[in-house]
Amino acid sequence: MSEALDTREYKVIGSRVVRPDGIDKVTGRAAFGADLNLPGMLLGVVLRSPHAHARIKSIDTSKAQAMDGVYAVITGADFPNASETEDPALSANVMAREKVLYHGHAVAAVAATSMAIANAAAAAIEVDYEPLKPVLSLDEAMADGATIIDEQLRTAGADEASDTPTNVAQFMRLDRGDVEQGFAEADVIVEGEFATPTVHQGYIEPHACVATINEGGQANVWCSTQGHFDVRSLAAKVLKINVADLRVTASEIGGGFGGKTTIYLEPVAIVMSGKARRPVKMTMTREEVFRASGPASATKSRIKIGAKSDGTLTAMQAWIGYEAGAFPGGPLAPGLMCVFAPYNAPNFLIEGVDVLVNKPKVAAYRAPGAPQAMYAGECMMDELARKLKIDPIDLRILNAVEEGSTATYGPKFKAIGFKACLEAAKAHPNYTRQLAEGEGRGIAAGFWFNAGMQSSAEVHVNENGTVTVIEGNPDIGGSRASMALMAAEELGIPYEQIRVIVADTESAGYTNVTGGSRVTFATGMAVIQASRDIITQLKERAAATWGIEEELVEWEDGHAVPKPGVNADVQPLSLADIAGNAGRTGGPILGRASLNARGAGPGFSVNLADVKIDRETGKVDVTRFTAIQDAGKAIHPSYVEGQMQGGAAQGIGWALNEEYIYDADGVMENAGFLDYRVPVASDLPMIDTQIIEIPNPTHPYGVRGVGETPIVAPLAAVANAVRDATGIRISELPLSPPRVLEALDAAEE
Amino acid sequence: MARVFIPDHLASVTDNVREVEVMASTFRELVQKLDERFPGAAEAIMGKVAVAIDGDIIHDPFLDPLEADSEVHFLHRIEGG
Repeated sequence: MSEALDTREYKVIGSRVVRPDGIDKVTGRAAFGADLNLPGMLLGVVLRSPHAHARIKSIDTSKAQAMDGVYAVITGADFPNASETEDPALSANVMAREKVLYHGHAVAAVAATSMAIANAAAAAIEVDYEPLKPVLSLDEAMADGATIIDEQLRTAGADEASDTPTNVAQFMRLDRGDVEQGFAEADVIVEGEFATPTVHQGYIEPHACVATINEGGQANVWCSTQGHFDVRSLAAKVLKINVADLRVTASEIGGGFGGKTTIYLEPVAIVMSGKARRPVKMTMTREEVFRASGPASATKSRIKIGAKSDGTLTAMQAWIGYEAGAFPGGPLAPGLMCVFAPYNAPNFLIEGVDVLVNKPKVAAYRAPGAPQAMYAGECMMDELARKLKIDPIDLRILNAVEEGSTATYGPKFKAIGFKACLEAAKAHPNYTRQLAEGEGRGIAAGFWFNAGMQSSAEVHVNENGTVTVIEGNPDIGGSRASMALMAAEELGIPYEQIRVIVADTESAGYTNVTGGSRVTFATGMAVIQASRDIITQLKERAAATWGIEEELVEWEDGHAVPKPGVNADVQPLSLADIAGNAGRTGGPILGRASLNARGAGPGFSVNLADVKIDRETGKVDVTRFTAIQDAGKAIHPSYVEGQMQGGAAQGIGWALNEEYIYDADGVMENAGFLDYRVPVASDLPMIDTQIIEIPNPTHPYGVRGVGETPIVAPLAAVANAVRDATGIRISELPLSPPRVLEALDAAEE
Repeated sequence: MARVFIPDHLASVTDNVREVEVMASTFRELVQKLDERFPGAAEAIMGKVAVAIDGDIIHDPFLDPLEADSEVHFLHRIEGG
């Protein structure tokens, strides 16, 4: 859809209505992934690899099979050959075949009448492994003579094709101008190296599903997912079954942040259900979530920036390596496309690699790849401002992209709000508030593309004039409320008269995943179009009722009325009036829309962080945090603010404490929330928010995605604040007490 | 004619030509004409990369219209989390 921006005053858009799913969620009635129970249901568990890298010599399941209460025992042999599927890596990640590639990799599974029996049976499975040397870091993986994880792997995108096995899955480059000439023209150059650890999304609800499949091969899956259509297509690929034979229902979801855009348990449960001829429920423990679901990539990066003495950038250069985990597919491309995206760089060279290591295959995590890349880039912008003795916001304003600027990843920006965010930050009282002794302040910018993609929506008019919206995006951040607000705005009826149903794969039109910050933008456009389809029909029904031409009717404030000047002796008809008479004017009224949305508006943010350092322990406390972001148009401001606050909390955790800690054998040593420390409410100040609204010209209301941008800037904002407080640039995350204390001690020596 | 910018990862398909002008009214026609000039271009592009047409990123382009002065950039596909 590309139509002129609607500049009218909104009736309900922008109001802070109560979300319809809220009461059930806070009272415990809402049904999440593990909450479905079916008659005769079995419980399934996965046997996981104790090695980070090993060859499977044999698996003996006979003892497990013989146990009372055990109905199914499966291994990789029960799945279609991975190499013959459309997605061999996905298949091999769901269940290992010849090799295990990370500690926790699924090797076998059991379904039994109780968890105790299932666990005992899993323990009775005998697996004979030939341990291999694990590869646990980028440096190890890329070293000469490195252990090769996949002998078939060759580097995609390499300048020169090679037939030598490698752990480097992909090389990528973005460039413009002459970067060497740019550095030659610079008055000042800053350079730095940075590292970020493996981190997890930390969603509260573990992966869970219930699967059934009948003798005819028709399967039902209930699961916690960000996209049930994706579960359907991915599971169908792994199992080589017809998507028409697989119906997937999304449960309520307790967080995903990108980590629930893929599958782990669902094909396993389907295969076991097929063997047992009973429903099978599978639920990951928290430990399994850490060890076996996809975290975000660890990275290493090198950044070099050159500028004139007035701050004008002349050259930007980056190299960023992403750990992919055990299979290719780290967020290399988005990371490289984001690293310098907020700036006008006349000359740049951005390169990077996607590298296999013996860790879980990484999954998307909120603006995948961008937080790591922009952490490094924004720390160096901070160093540049210090070297030039220029206010860091002024430096960014001087070089900021705006409408018409060419992005480092290619196209020209349309209307964007980066400068507006920077100016809001400069004017914010938290930017000039006096710091206490020992405190430091950091600022950083964030960027994310946001996505469009495919969405569908139906709008049904009920007999009393209430409306049901049917769509296919699991509601993670309040999207039912946002969809209802947009339908209410279009139809001119109260928000409370609209219900929104997230329907299963056989009941809703195809819809891409709840991810990419796309739902309010793309599915929202589908809801708007479906509502406009309804309005067209309502006007037709009113015209028929009145006996006048359709084009003489318009829709105003929830009523059909004759156009001004039309000489018709009729009373306005409300939606309820028309709905109540629908049977006599043509039958039920329903509207629909399906689209592939283009023109998602990029999101920019600016964060301000104040920190206080305990110089005895090295502990960093965030004392004040301000998130400013361009939302285009905030359909429901509270949920936009919630996204900004949630992203800030996750980014602060990434900056200060979160990391996978591995031993020398590749075993994660902190696979639980006691030792993998995410911030809790008592760790954080209230996150101040300021929504900027620079409308996205391609959306009828100006909406931009808002869910991912908020996690991008906090890493550098906090790191820059620690730099400000200590005078020391610590270039590796997390800035945990031991690391900060070590740096403070080293500086004193 | 549409200005088409070729990124590094597709430069091997276009013999390192990084910018071309193509007369086309849709994305599909543009790719067909690129393929005529650079055999293999269609195979490398269709269904594999996203595109930005006049600043609008399209994840899976095909029938999307082009203006006479459109700017076309090929991009890696971004989905997000």
